[in-house]
Amino acid sequence: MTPTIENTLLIAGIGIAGIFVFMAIFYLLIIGLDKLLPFEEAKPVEQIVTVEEMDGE
Amino acid sequence: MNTLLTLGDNLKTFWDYTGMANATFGHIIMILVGLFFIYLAISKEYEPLLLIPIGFGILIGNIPFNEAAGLQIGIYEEGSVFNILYQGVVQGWYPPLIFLGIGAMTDFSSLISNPKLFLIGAACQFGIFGAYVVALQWGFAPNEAASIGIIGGADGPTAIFLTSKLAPQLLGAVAISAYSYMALVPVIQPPFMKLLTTKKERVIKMKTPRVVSQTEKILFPIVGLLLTTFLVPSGLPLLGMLFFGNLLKESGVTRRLAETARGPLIDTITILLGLTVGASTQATTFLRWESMKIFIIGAFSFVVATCAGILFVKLFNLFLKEGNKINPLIGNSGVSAVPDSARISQVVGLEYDNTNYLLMHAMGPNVAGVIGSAVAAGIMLGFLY
Repeated sequence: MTPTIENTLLIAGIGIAGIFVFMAIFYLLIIGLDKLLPFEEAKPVEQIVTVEEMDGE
Repeated sequence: MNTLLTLGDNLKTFWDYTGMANATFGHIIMILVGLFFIYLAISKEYEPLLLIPIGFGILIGNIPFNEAAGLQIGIYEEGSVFNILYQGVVQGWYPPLIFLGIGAMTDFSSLISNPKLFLIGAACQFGIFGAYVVALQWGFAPNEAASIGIIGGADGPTAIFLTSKLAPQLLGAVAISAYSYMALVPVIQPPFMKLLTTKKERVIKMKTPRVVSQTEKILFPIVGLLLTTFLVPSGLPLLGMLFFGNLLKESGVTRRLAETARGPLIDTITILLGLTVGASTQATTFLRWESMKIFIIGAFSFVVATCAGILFVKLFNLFLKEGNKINPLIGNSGVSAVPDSARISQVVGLEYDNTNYLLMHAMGPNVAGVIGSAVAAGIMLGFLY
């Protein structure tokens, strides 16, 4: 194997591995974000009004 | 008599300056290529927003003229209007502006709701590195091979950005090749998608994605930018602008800026980029055996990218529980021709089950592919610049 081919394969290997590592970090980060900030459905407007009305009383 | 002689000389000079006197066989071929691009755009509606400016640019760039006369009209003549406009390509500042617009029009929700799809965007980058190896074996220098390989990312602006830095002499051929294959996504991808999947796999129904909160949508571009900066700084011009555009969209307080970025700005840059890339294919500099080789390797990288995405999903499915499986027909959309490759997933999926809508799922790998190819460009720049 010539040094050029060796170097080529090295860059290609590091490149594709680098992209997978990068994407995997993104993946873990989003999982973390989801755990940290879980989606909460907003309360329906009617329910909020009812609570406010009750507070007023 | 003298008057007649002078008139004859003047007429000869006039003739020497006409297109007819300077036309070569190469000019005619390139004009036919330009007309073919315009035909594809209008008649077949293949990426008309790109192919019309590029096709017309090819016509403009191949109007023959007396190149020795120094008229300052050709794209390669310093000081000409086209040369000035072409600086945006040569200096590489059109692509980041295009990325700004793409960021402002992209909804990352599908990716955030199902982050596994990131990995499909990574798998499709095999096309880039596969073509890089082949290009080196075909005698290209490493920096040229990287510029050719990036065609497999199916991302015109990224291809132009990387080539302008690594191998500006190949800019015309790489850009035309990248945009041609992007336009031909509906023709190139479906046969491989059908070849590599079984009927059972094509009808897999994917789970409805979860709802993504606004906070997540706002944090995503900020976190994305920081990751890019710290891991692959050389990808910053493209990814920085992509995430900046996305923050303009998602912040909810810069609607006017986001609308400008995804509307008038990206349209203006697309016109300038398409026209000048087309015009850069002047027959005297473009028609070479080297350009043909770039087209062949470009096609190879596109096919490898498509197949890698599909095969990766099939492999991934072996580790996923029933109900969480991914339809391999979205594997092709990891190549970042947004949104065409995602649309192809939807079209092919509907052929086998007319209730199976794959578009929202395919958009995930599609935008991951944009990020992936920009990261690949950053890695190449880091190694070879």
